[in-house]
Amino acid sequence: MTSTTGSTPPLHRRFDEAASLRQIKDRYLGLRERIAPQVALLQQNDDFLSQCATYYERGYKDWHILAAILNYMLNAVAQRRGLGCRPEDIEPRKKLIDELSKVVLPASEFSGPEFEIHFRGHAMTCLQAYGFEYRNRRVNDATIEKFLRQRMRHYDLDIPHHPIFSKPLGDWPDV
Amino acid sequence: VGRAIVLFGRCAGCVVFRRNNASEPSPRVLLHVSVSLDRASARSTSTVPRLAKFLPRLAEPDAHSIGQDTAAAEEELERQDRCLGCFFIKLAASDALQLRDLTQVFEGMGLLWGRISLLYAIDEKEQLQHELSLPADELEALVESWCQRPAFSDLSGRGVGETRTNCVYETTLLGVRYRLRCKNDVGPIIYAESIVGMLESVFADAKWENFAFVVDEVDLYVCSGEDGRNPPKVFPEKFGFEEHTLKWLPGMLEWMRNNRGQYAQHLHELLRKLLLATTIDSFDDLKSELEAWNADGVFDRVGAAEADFLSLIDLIGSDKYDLNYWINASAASSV
Repeated sequence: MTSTTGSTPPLHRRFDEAASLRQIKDRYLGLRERIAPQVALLQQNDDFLSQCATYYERGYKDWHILAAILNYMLNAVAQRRGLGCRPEDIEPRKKLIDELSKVVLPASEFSGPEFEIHFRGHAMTCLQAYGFEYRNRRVNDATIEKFLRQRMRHYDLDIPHHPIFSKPLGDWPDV
Repeated sequence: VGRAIVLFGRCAGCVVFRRNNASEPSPRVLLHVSVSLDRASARSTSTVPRLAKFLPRLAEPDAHSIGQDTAAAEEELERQDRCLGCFFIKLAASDALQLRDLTQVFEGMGLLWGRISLLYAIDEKEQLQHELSLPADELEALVESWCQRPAFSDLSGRGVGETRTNCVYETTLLGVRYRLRCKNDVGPIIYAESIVGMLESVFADAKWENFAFVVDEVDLYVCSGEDGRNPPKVFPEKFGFEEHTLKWLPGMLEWMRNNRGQYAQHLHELLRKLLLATTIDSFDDLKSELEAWNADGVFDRVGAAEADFLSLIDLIGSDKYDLNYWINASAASSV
């Protein structure tokens, strides 16, 4: 026996375009404050720019890429300082974000699965920002991305600007 | 196709036929053969009736040795073997697992493509890679090439439901596909129907925009056995990631009949855990949604479905509740 009810997923009731754009604007502000030197370095790296071309094709916006860069940096610095997931590591980890503006990592580090895993981390963070609660210990990245794409327009919205990592190089959006 | 598989099994049981070229080819030769057979396979779009008609001819043990021309039969068999290959690739893994013993049968019969695809479907990929001397990506590419064949899109991808060990119920609600396999026995069937009835009842009035589903598929398997439990425990972390077995103790029907309140609670618990596991809406949002459902009488409808099933059994008897009884025209009721 097979039956089907409903076929086109509607936007979720929590979707609020104005609120989403405000969040994106705030993210650009926070990211610029913390990782502008790292971004400037990455803009000079052709390998990273060609990598970003594929991210743009996937529908990722600059704020997704920038957030992944920030998350990667946070994790890399924490690892180098020997900070893990122990209870005593939580507070020092939280403070790391204020030190990032002084950190610049080699551009070659921002590639491969070690880097791309941070897109997923950012997506999970955004779910919380939208007011959702992820309760299962197991995560299916594909269905999370599908939900954000179809129901929250997460990969549609951005502050209008020329892409930061495409040639000719764009600048940070005017927020 | 299900019948064809049974026939294959029966043929193999009698060991009535072995193809001339059934001696084990080397893996590389096998791949070469696959290329030459591509054209033949591409012509074949209708599989099952031709296969069924063809099988009696295969049962002639000495056709080749007495000088009959079996070339056409050979070609047809190879074509059907490849169609069988497409079928297993498409078959749900849980169904394929039930047929896993056929790999030996296929090997004995020289049905290489059926065997390869069945091994692939039951996730014996390492064995295949070893046998075929293929790296993982080439094996995937090979299987992917089968998916492009006309036979692959023509086949249904499921076995016959009512006459097998298990029945399958499937419903897609608000973007989530619920697939319930259950033992082809009246207790599991009633329970599976109750779950389907519950899901369809609760989501009939639901507003999709109020639910953030992050799971595409939920797979449940209902059965009973001495190591089961009345009612079975629910492990929500499995929803969306693996098939969840709901195993009852034998005599589940009597338990359901005698513990209606507990049974209703169990169904509500299952629903609640399903919702919590498959959505990411905040707990407060879900709670208010459930309260609205309650006010609309949704849960009353859920309970009513199960009561109807039980009443029907009381009326017609559990042997006649089985769909097979009604499929068989000669067994019409004397009433």
